[in-house]
Amino acid sequence: MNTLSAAWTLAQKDLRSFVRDRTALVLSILVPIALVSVFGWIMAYAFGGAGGMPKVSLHVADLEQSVASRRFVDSLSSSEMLRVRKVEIDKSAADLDARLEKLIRDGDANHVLVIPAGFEAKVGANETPELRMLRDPGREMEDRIVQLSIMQAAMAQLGGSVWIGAMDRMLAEQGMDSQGLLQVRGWMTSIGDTINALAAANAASDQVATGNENAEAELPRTRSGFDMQGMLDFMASIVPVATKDISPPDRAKQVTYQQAQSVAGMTVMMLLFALTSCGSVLLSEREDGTLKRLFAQPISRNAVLLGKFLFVMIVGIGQMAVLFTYGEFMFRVGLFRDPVTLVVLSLIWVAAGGAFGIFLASVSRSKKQAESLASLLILMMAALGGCWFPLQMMNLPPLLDTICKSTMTYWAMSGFQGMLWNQLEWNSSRILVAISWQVGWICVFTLLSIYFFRRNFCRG
Amino acid sequence: MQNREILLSIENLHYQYGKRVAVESVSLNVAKGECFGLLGPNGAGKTTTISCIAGLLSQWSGSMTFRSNEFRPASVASDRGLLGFVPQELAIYPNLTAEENLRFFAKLCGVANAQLQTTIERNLQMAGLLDRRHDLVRTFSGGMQRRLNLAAGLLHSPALVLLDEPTVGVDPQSRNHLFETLLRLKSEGLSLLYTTHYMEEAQRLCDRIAIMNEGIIVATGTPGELATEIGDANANLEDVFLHLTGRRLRDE
Repeated sequence: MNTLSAAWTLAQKDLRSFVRDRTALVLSILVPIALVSVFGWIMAYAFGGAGGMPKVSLHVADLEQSVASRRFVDSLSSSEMLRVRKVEIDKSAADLDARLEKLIRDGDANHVLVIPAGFEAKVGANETPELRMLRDPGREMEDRIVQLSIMQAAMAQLGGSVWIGAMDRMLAEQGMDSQGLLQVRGWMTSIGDTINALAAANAASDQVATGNENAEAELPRTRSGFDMQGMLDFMASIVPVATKDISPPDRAKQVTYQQAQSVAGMTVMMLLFALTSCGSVLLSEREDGTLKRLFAQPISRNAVLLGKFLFVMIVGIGQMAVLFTYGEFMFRVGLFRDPVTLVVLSLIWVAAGGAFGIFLASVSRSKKQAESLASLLILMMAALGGCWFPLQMMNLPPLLDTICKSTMTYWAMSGFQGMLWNQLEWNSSRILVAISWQVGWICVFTLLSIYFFRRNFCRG
Repeated sequence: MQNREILLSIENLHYQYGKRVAVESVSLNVAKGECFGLLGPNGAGKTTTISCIAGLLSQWSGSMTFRSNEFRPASVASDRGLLGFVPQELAIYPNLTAEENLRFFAKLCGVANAQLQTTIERNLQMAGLLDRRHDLVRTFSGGMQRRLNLAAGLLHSPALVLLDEPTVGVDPQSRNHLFETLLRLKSEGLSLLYTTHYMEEAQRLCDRIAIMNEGIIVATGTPGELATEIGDANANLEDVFLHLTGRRLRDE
């Protein structure tokens, strides 16, 4: 038999074996389909869907609740770049600012725009309203989007008062007295009226030509070489927003949100891979025949399962220690700032991952099957849980949002992000919620593991 | 046999995998210091019988007693501790050394810490592996691994050892070593329940033999009694075996 014939014969044999392993065959088709579907779904929202712009959460505390302030909030809400969340707060509370700052400190909000009392009066008097922004520094991309969106809303809803206010400030800085300012305002109003009249006439003729009654002015597009920061600086001078940075006192200055996200995300995901691989020792024992001998020993079957869980836990803790030490060495993200929280979160995640690994082993018929299932489920959970992209940047529909927030990876990320970025301690409400969810998953996977272990390994 | 204490007694053991009956109405007694052979072709039910006794299978019916006490190895862990078990597979860990393997199984069997080292050394000596005690098992030959596999089943000095075809794939020297070890243990009072389909093994080791075929015991007795049973006092065990189980090819 020549080489080609021999190779073909071997390939035929392998194909026949492959096709006869039905589970492997189904998984080989299902895994790519499932992964493509989930990643396609998530990626679409990661980059803002068809609009190509991610949505950023902006919390708005409207302390006035007037017609003008509501119109301004509505204008913000209509922005394609923002997901506006109204902060329900008692505006008469003495510790109002502290409460708003807590939203940032706890990681519940990254930007809180405060619309102060007197907003409507300022707008009515053609004065620039004094907006305040509390923000978590270090999120430059989100900052720019928020800043730009506020400018757009201000332009759209506050109109002339914004420009007049800006002009007043600029001229006052140049030394013009109040008399001069009034004169300039008169000229500006006259020019503005002329422009508005022309614009109205153009709009009417466009409407006749296109028949589109809802035609909106196109947003200016960013061109190649456009100085975005310059534009933002200019606009910031038109609508001044008093910004206050709220960050934990000892957050390392060089740490970026992306680094914190990356260290947490990769640790959570890679540890799952490692733990499921360890969990498959149960299947190795069965395939090698040693499980039979273990079952013949004067020990309980549950001890065998518990032994595997302990093994996975110990390996996981070791891997976590190595990953975090390396992450700290490379990125200086302040992992060891709060060792207690680090240990608590690590133990919980190792236990959750270990329970998941043992569960996978208990439902699989072979190591090969377990590996395929692990790849499928881990990659899906990593994508859904925000290990790759921060979910805050995604404009998820309610169903997908609920799915994402049900995954154990989401809560592991929430815990680690809370610790790394917001520097929350293990007993803070956000971290306790994250821990509770993970404990829930540990219980679910442990119970399922015991059930399937008894059914698939011990029955006979 | 009549004067010896009965260690294990089985009455009407029945086991089926789904609808397929694997073992039907099997009854046997194993006396102290006796080597009892379960001889049969592939698929006769030998391994299933041993698995029921070892506690690996639980859904059997019938009754078992050990030293006249009810014996429920699948559900009572301490009952399993009364037995030694040497499975057909090489149930040892290739990435551990010989000593580490024995230490692990000795601890699981409940060997006291004070006796641990002595027990391990005695069993390594018995397996002829004392000088290789620190070597990884994966570096051992098939015969060495088989010897270690046997030693791992004897660590807690059980009164009865179940051996499920322990000489599969073993070279003549190692097989001889295993036989000599088993004969010595038998002479020391250890009872053996031994499954095989090798006639010469059964002839050499077993005091009594039960020949199984398609899940049932078709004959029980000493090799001489079995020969008489087929009406040829000069017949060897292979003749008896073929006479009782037929010449049809067997598949698992």
